[in-house]
Amino acid sequence: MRKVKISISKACLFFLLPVLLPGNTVIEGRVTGEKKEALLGVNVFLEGTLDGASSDEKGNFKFTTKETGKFNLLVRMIGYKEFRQELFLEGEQITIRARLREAVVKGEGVTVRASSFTTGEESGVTLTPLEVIMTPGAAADVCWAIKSFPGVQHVEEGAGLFVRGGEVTETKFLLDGANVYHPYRYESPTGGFFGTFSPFLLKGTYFSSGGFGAEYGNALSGILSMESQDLPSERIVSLGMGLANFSIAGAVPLGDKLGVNFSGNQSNTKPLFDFNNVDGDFTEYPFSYDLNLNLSWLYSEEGRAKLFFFREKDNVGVLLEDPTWGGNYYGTENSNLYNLKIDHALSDNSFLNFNVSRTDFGKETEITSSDEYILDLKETDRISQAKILLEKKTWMFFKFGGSFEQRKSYFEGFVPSEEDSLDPSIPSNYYDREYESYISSVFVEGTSFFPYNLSLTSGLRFDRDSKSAKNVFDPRFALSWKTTDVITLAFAAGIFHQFYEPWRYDPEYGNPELDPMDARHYIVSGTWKNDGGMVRVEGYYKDYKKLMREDDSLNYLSSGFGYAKGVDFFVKKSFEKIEGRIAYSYLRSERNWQDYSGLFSPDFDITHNLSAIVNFSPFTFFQLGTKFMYATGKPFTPMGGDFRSERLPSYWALDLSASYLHSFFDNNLTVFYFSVNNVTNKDNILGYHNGDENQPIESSYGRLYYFGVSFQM
Amino acid sequence: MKKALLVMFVFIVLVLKADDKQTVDEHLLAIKSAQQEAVDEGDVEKLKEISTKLERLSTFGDKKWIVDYYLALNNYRISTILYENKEMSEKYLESSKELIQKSIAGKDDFAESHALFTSILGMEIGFKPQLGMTNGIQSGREIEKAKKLAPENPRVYMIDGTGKLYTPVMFGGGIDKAIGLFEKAAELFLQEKDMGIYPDWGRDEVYVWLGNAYKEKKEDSTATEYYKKALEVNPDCGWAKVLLGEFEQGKEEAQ
Repeated sequence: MRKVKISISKACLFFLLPVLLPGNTVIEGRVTGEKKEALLGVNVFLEGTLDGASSDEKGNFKFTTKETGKFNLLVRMIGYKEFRQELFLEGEQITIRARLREAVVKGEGVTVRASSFTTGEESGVTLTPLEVIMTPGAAADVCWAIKSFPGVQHVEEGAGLFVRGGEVTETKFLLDGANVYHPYRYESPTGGFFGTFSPFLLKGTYFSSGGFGAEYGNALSGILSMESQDLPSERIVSLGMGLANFSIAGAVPLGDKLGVNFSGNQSNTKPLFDFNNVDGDFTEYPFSYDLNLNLSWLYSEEGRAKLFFFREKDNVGVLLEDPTWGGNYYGTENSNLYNLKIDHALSDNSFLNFNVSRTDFGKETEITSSDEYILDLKETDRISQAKILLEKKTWMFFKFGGSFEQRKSYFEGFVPSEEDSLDPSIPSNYYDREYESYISSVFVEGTSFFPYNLSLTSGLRFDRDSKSAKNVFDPRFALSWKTTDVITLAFAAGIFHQFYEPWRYDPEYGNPELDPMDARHYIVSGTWKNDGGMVRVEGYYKDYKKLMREDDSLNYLSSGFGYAKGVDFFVKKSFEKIEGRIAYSYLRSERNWQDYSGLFSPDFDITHNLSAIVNFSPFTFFQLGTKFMYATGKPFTPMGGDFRSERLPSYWALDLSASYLHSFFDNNLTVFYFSVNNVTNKDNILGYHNGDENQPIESSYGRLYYFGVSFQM
Repeated sequence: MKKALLVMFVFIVLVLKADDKQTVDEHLLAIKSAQQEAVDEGDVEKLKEISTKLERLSTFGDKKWIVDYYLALNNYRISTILYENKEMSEKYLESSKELIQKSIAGKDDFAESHALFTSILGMEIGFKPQLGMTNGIQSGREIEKAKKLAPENPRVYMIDGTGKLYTPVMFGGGIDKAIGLFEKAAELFLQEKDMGIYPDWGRDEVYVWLGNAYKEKKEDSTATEYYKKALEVNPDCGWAKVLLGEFEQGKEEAQ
């Protein structure tokens, strides 16, 4: 009997052993860096356990684990990207070779992809909202600040982004994924005077001057993608008052999961112009206001929803003076944007983004001469959009998405029968037209990483426009090669299409057969960067096809063409208390489009464009900044001379700014700022009446002082 | 006999298994103590070992936000010790900043994280003065949030004091303001009870900071008294020992 008992115990032990004594698995191997150099002190361990080891001076490691089954081996070291490998532990020795890639050094503000700049607090930090405010001469405007980057030409004294020989409408704006078709205030043929969105509404901005990915469509030249503020973590209220503006903004957390950001701004330029004795010939000084409400909700551990509402209204009245006639211009615009965006993590490496948006835009324009209407037009533009994007990170970074957009435009009123002419003697046509169009898009893009620090992004995009019934396929790719620790070479190429506004397809006033505009981008880029600064040189060539040409019988044709080529140079450097950046662009651009009779330089063919900015912080709470800006004059047709054969005198301006922070009581931050634009009072010439050099159109803005204060509690 | 051996064997195996099941809390308690020891000794290698363990612990999933806090604190300590080695120090500070942001994202109402974030932002200005304005604004917000969340937390006042010590009077700082905050922190440290797995560091450091503040005021004897007080609270406080040593050396050289 006794023997039997012992036998049972032995039997129990025998069966229990596999459970109680797990099989010991030995994991060993070597960790190296990108150049196969041994890495010391790397943490190699099994996820969810303390089992692991640190690598020795030869990069070798070895440890034993009692765990069995499926586990992730993690290899981590500060300054390097994590290495992760799934293992199945069953008691047998496992050998690992891990090669770690250096993490991208934060703070340089430039992505590896050619031609793109990333701004914002989360990635790169080239321009935080506060830095936009402190960019000298940028008038606290995102677009003006972006104009100090390479590849953006100074064509007019405004916010319009003319990118690498492209027209202003060729730069597409997005906010939280929603297309923004009216991104400027005081709209004009060259964009507008300011950007619509204040930098304080934004968390970050992505700007690309070409070669952008398949995610972005219906844009020929550039992308400016903005992200609004996230869930606030604390209650903040701030008041701002300047020579031309008053603003209130705040952030209110409503518990842990819900929060609201709000703001209201009013801009009245009369005090600014009066103070500076600017005679802008205004019959109504530029006035605008905007309201913003941004509700964020963390609805689960995996997802968040953001509801963004923005309203803006502006108006301006100005005297028009022409040697042959005089008149008044009055314009008013209002815009409402509603956007719901949902970001949801489907798993550790899969993400879903979804947004629906609606824009209502209205504009009224009047031009009168001797109490007679030359132009009297009301426009409304309603855009509804739904967009979905799936991102998956496996051995490659994969993006797949699609969008659907409906655009309804309505025009009613009198317009001169000759486009671009306001001569009162030309008769007006009465318009009463409504247009509706749909654009459907699908895209796919993948980024693969290869040995020798090579990465390849390739994508394909499909767009269909219902109005023209045209389909376009845009293949794009970008190659990046990090040759050394500090040097990256990149190449990008692709096809880009852009559809016209719906009214251009009108059978009476436009041409229903118009093809979408077409551009091919070829970009080579070299970037050197280290902790202290960066230098980037890019060369590009853009081939334009199917540009719009005016035609006597069919109104418009798609037979226009052109090219743009150039070199952009960018250097950024920080010293102890000084940081600066220089952007220089050389551009050569010609087009045969509109009413041209051959290849000629358009207005935005600005040969040399230079922007140099230096910020100096003598102590923590005080900053001085200066910006020098130079641009070759625009081409123009001299009176009695050849078509576009001359150029305006070069444009240049020197701006200064100073800001000073003070805390009057706990939790208070007060910013005093002061700026002087065009310090030297340079009389810049913006054009000539009828090409007559004796009748220059001079800039209204000589030396301009601005000051204000922002008070935060 | 065989039965006894069998029981003993099973017991040993169970004990071994039990060790595997040590909770995150138990690990954190051990780490806190090891961290204090490494800080006292100014031993970077020991701190790196602690970071290694904390990194592994952070993959357990349980209480990740506090593990991230301790890892951020540990890397911040390494960064301060390696300050002269700018490249390495910046790397550890950058890591510390990422970790404290993760900790705050995991638990936004933990005052200690906001206070530590304030210190990290302040140190970042040391490396990149051009960040002075932006970090200055953010650190002000973080410390105010920490105060609201934990009005009786001594570390919050101590960290606020360190910021104020090097901020000019006209910007809301100054030595006297800093001393007031350090004194309040010292008082609160006396009331602080056993914090368990939660942070309790700083009860010696606060006196070192008081000493530093009086040193700035050129009141060397008071400064020395506070350094000695720090050693009374923690006889192993390496920082106080070094500063006292410097004082003694200065005196000898003066004589």
